Amino acid sequence: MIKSILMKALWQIPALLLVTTCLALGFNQVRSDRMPLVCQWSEQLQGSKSSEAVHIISIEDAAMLFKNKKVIFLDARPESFYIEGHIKGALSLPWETAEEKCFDVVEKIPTDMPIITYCDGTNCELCDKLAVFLCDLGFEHVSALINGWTVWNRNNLPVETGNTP
Amino acid sequence: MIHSNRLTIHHRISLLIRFFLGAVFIFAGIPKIMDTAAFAGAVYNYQLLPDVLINFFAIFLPWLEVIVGIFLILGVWLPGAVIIYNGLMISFIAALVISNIRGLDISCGCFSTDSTDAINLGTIFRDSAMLLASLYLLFVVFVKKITSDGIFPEKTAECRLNRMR
Repeated sequence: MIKSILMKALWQIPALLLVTTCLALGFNQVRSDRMPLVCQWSEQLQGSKSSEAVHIISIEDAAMLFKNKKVIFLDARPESFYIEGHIKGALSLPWETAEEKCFDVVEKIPTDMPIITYCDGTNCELCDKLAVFLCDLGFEHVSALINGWTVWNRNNLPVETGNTP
Repeated sequence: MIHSNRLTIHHRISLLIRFFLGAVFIFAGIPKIMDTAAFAGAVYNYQLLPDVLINFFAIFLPWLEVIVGIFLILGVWLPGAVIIYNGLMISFIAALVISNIRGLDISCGCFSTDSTDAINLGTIFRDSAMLLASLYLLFVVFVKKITSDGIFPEKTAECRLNRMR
């Protein structure tokens, strides 16, 4: 009996996968925002993901500004991630609460001071959303560090944990 | 008689679980079908698949979730659908655990493509609970041999029992 159920499963699984493939590809063909089946993600994401209004800064430039203490880092991730660990001296301004909290944070930053926003993950858009938002507020030198937390750690640059006042 | 009662209990529980697990997959799949590009971004962030497979996977997976969910609810091709469901849950948990160990700060992409839906122990726990439920279905289908087609298999089981008497 169990053998016959297994036999059923053996033809049902490929049949299900086939039906799904046809439906998925068919739907993708007819939809207006059709996706290419193959796409070089790593190349596509090199800096192009951010809004044109915002400058994408390289990790080398960000590290240089950090060493010269000529920049303020803003952490766009949720506060719990900030507390777990963030770029040394960075201020927390989670994107979700940016509108309420921005004035407290902005008070601490001179308007001519360059700002670098960061979050994590190559496709994370929190940091460039925050950067565009800050540009709208009147800050002139706002950059976004794509995949910031990961690349910062990869380069063994200074970090700290906990909540900075 | 006791045996037939147990069978009915298994029938009822498995029916409830089928409806629940099926609905979860349908509701998880639809937003990803609507915004495939954002889901592809979430898949990319997991850094588990080679670039060339990301788009196809992002087009295919949400449809597989929806179709397996519908088949589970309708009770059609149960052996195949249940095996695929278990396989998917195991793969999801593996992907979440690997990302958690790697310390990736990325969105789960489980129920939406929202970048604030981050991976944490809660998401792993939730998926593990779903895996337990789907393993129970596997047991019911392959060991208790409740594979009768149709939304309400009790009826057919009772008929079968009557026929046996």
